[in-house]
Amino acid sequence: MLNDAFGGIDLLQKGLDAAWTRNSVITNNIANVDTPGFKSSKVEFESSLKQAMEAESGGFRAKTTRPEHYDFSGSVEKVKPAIVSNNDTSYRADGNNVDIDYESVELARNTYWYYALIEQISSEFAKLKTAING
Amino acid sequence: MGFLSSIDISGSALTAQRLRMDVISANIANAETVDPVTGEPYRRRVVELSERKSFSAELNQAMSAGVKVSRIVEDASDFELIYDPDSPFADANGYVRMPNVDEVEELIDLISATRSYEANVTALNATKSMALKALEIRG
Amino acid sequence: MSVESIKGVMSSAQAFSQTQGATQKSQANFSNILSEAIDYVKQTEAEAAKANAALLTGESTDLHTALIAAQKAEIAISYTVEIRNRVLEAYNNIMNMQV
Repeated sequence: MLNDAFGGIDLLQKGLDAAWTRNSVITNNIANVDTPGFKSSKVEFESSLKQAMEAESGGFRAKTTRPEHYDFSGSVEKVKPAIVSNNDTSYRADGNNVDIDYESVELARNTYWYYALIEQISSEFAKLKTAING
Repeated sequence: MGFLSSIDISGSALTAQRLRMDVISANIANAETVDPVTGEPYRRRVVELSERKSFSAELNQAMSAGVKVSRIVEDASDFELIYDPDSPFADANGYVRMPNVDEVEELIDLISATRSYEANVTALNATKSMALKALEIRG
Repeated sequence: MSVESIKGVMSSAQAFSQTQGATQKSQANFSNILSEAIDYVKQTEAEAAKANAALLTGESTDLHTALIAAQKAEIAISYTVEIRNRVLEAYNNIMNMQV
């Protein structure tokens, strides 16, 4: 399963970066809701992070059964949020494919995700301070 | 774009939608306007929206940065013809040209612009609340 | 804070220490209490890390699981630090006694 080392502050910061980028992208989608020809974008992060975590913790069988040793160490560190264009969703007569209801839901979900990660990172700092200050 | 650039994105949309609303309001206000001297009717105007781009030196590419009104154009569709033979501007058949403004269409457009404006206000508030929350990070 | 809620946290810490076996429980000396507290820290840390990972990979469907796990881990550390302080204090008191 997932390695215990993955709960740290750097990882939470990665999540916060992704959430912030996602907020920008959703905001831009909403800003262009009436722009002819505009195609919305989204941020991919969670799935690439999960893959990298599984790779680093030896989830891939390749690591143990094949003679070639794939080195997945450090792949979690390299994970970054990726902005991807939604080119294949259906669009209106003017070529715009922004779904305002979907974007509004994603805006709310992302905001709460950001809040939760902020709480978690504050908690990490609190533990460190307690341990230091005795 | 600089600090808290998502706010600029929302800001650009608020500006664009407000301008759109102004143009629609002008259309509605002038739906019956004819020049008293020349008889030339008011011609409907429309905003053209396009994606606003800003260059990101970090990624060396143009990034989408909201929306802007690229042009305000006149609607080239035909003027409406109203039968009014007593008017000084009536043509040979007694018809007077009136503005090519359909008030119902304009109202629907105005509602759409208002909804888009509100959606962008919500987005702006989300960015603001996230930033406030980040300021609370503490040990 | 209500005494009941503090007892609730303490009972989960004690429940944990009870799983460590009857012999350890009967020898309730300081080093055992401290090492049990440290084990409790390790356990809550692991659960918090797991909950955070679920939150980060989008596998978590709620907010409260991660937040609660984080608070438990924080309390475990505070508890352990406090025990260490009491242990130290008790040791110093004993060492300072006139024989």
